[in-house]
Formats: sequence, structure tokens, C-alpha cells
Amino acid sequence: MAIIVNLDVMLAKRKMSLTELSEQVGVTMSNLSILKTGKAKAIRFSTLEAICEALDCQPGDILEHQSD
Amino acid sequence: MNFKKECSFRHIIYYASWLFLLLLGVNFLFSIANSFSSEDKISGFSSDDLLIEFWGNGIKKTSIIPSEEKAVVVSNIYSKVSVLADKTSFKAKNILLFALHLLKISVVILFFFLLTKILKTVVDKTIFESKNSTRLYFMGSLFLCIPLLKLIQAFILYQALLMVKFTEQVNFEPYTDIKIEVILGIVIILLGYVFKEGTRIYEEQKLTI
Repeated sequence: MAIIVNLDVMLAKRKMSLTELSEQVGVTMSNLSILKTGKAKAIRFSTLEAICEALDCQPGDILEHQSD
Repeated sequence: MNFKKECSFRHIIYYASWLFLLLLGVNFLFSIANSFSSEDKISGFSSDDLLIEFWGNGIKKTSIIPSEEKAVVVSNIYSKVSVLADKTSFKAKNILLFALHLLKISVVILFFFLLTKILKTVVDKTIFESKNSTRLYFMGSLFLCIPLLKLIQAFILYQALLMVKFTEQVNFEPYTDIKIEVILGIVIILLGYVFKEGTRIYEEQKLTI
């Protein structure tokens, strides 16, 4: 997959657990796990905005493009 | 057990499909049992005057008034005949017709078995799974097999009818109507394609966070 999700990196940087993020963003743990493991097919702007607000970061910090 | 929940429309359809499957199974067993009883009937007549059941659709033509022929479509030809050709070859053809008849019922049973599997997913509310589109492709292919079996049966029936002379005032011809099966088979396969696309969209939607 060309788009890499660096959610675990950002969580480690902010010293935040997935449970805390789940509570702040309002997304279920299973859905955040899907996102973290890169199994997600798409992400809504509203979810991305909520994650960026909770982690105090930019979308580019969470998503990264890697050429194959 | 929640009785109201268990009696919803989809539950009723699901249980009805199992009942229908059971009836088809009984029909299958009944056909086999009937074939044995037909053998008994055959042995009761002299070798030149047999009461034979041909397993295949036919058109019964009776000439009450010589100029006017009344034609009726019958599911199985059942009449007194005298075999003109080799009796073993004739019997082999008749057994083949019966085997094809059983094969047709088996195909229908398999079709309804797959349908009950799909209905189970409807009951469980997991209808959009990839297995269902595969099931629909298979069901469509099965439906397209029936006309093929019918055509083979009609061909063998035609050959078998050439070997006999009807002792009663009737005449039979093979009859095949395959329009409905072909149309339904194609529609079911197309539905399979639609279902495959639907499942893909559903999976994508499910994995959108």
C-alpha cells in the first residue's frame, strides 16, 4: 500500500494510549486498530480532523506516501 | 427464544425454503420408488405389450376424429407399447432417461440448498459476504444445466420413441421448453455480478474509518 498510517508513531510521541484516543475522538477501538494496522480502505475528513485535534498534529504527521 | 423475532418474514421464507427442500427430497425418493414399481408393471405384461413410463416431457397426440388431432403436453409418457427394436438397447435408453430425470431433480435440490444458505445469511443479517456471490454464480450455472439435461433427455426420448409402436390410439413426441430456465439462469448469474460489486462496496464502506 502506498499510503502509510503513522498513528502508532504519533501516539508514542504524545505518550497517549489507543484507548485514550478512542475516547477523545469518539471512534471505536476496533476501528482505530484497523486504521493503525493499515487495513482501512478510506478515512473520513471528520475522523482525520478529530484525530489531528486530539494529537495536536497535522494530517501529514499521520499519513505518509511511500512509492512502491 | 424471542418468538416475535423468530417469526419475521425472512425467518418464514427461510423455514419455507427448508420445507421445500424436504419436499424435493421426498420427490426424489418417490421417483426411485416409482421406477421399481414400474418394473413390476412391465413384468406383468407379455413381452410384446409393455406398459412403459418414459421419463421425459412429451406431447400426447390423440386422434379421436381422424382429421382432428388433440395435443396435450405431459410430464412423463406413460403408455402401452410394443418394442420393435432390440429390447436391451431400448431398456438401456429408458434407464438413461430415468437417470437424467434423477439428475435434473438433484440439480434442483442443489439449487434450493444453495438458496437456503443465502436465506440463512439474510436471517443472520450478513447478506453481503463474498460467498453469496459465488453461490449465485453456481446457482445460475446450475439453472443453465437444466436446459442442457432436458435437451439430452429429449434426444434420447426421441430415439427411444422410434423403437416402439404404441398399442393404444395415441402418439407421442418429445417436448422441450427451455426458455424459462435459460432466462432465469442468465438473470441469476447477472445478479451474482451485481452482488459481487455490492459486496465490494460494502467491504469498502465497512473499512472506512
